[in-house]
Amino acid sequence: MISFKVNGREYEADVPVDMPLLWVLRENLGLTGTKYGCGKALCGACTVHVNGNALRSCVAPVSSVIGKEIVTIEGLSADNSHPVQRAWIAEDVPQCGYCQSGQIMSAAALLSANPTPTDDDIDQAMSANICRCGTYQRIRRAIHLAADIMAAGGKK
Amino acid sequence: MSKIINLSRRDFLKAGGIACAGLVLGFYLPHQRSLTQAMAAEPLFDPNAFLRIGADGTVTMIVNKSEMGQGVYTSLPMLIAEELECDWSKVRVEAAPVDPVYVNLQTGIQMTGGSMSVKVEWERMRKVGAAAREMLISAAAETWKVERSSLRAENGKVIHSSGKALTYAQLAETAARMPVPEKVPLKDPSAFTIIGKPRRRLDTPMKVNGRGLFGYDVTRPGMLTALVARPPVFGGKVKSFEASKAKAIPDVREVVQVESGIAVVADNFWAAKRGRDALQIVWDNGPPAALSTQALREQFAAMAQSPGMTARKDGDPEKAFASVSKRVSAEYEVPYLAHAAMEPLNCFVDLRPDSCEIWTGTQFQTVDRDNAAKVAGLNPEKVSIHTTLLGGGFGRRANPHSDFVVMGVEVARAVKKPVKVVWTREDDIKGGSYRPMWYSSLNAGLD
Repeated sequence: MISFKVNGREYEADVPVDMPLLWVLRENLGLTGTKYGCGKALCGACTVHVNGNALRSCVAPVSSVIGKEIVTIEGLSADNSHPVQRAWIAEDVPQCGYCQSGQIMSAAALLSANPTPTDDDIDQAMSANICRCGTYQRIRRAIHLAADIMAAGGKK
Repeated sequence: MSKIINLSRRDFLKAGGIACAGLVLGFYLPHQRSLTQAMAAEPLFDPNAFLRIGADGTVTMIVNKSEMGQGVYTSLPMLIAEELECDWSKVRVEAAPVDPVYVNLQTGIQMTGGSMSVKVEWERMRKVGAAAREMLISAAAETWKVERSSLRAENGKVIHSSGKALTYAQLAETAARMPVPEKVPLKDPSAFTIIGKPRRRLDTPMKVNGRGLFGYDVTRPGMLTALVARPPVFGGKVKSFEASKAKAIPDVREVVQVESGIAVVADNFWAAKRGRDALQIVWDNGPPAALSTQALREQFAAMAQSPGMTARKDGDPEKAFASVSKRVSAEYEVPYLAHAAMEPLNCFVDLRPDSCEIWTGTQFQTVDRDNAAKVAGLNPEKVSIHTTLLGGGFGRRANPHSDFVVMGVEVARAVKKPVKVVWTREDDIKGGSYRPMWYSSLNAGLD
């Protein structure tokens, strides 16, 4: 039995220790907002936060998060109020949307570590999150906007 | 010409207990399905319509195109809303089921592709909105016993010249009893307030919190998950296989041979993946194994030097070529390319003796339904497709052989349980159908 915390709730899962966290989240916990894109940590669609850091859940064995605090896209806010979500809505970032959970989680982790990122900071932090629709320009604008929202007192 | 019919009485009012009773409008196309046939088909809840105005004020627009990032879950509702004069904040979107009423008017099948959704639906969707608006105005005229000319529709209300108003929600049930206008006046483009103006996408909120449902996310009670080992060469066949190691993996339920390959069916993805990795298969790759990219390229290049079909011929180019001052020759080529949508292919199938329920993100509903029906051994009408969001389409989810749907039905038929057949990224890249290889040769002369 493996114990960890997801979006503030304690969970125990009876799964093989080598099962990637992604599948535990999606199939055991029903948190399907975190996406499978490649299974090799190459596309970023599966990005979640583990103890506040962005992590590719598709290659992280569930045994590596025992006792840790995980946040998924569903846990970012209950009502799309997280500054990154607000910025994403304001800039109408998503197209097909499949990569966006991962984009948003990477962006949120970036802003936690660096509240005023430059374009270069953004490109560096986000370069491993692939978007097949090509929403990169809006992602960059939305991250700057989220930084502004946070600086203006938007919580988190 | 398409004809508008009012489906309200036939379906919604009869259905009684349905919460969203109100005005429902659909367009039937006489050349696809006669009006009598349409009226004869009578399931309890027939959603052959593009619009429902619920007694709760919700305006549900049923979109007959697949949302794959191009914004069609917003653009087609904008066309309806432009004429309907509804409150945009009340607009909700539903994916259309498979039905002749939803076919692409240009191609004759229900599909999304070719960058034609708005162009093709440009008139029909506006007529849906306009017809509903006229019926709501008629409903208000009847309610208040006033002339229609004293009424106008605005932001989800019908307003009388005296200033009194009724909401569409209040009028919906009465409007459903109004005759559908034969001719509906459409706005002059100069009067557009929605079309041509920026509008936020309706699908953005659900795409920033993980709630948007893609095919890969579909989960149903008792569902199994399967991965299929497919031949490494198109057209290849299984010669023999050994599944004992795969079956020994915990949570692997079954290993079955289907037309598409060897399916490992499990309680979850990880078990199915480990099970498939443990399969030992001997393939008969057949003649296509001899094909190579290089050989194809050489063949294409040679063909490009032979005379092709004449698309158009003006004047005497052969003669003109003799006297040009400059000649330009060029070869253009593109390789076979994987479409590589972000969301790998997948298809959920619940096959019962008399029905087949499919959930998937597809661009090709009519074709997929018909191909699924063949494999399922059912009439096409027994097959329903629930179109989810598509994590990218690019034409990969529109192919005449419906490979990912057919594979789902094959596995469901074999295991007799609800099953989601998923593809890994590697399956998706290795498994075509690729964008075709292309080779063109240009010879031009300049004066």
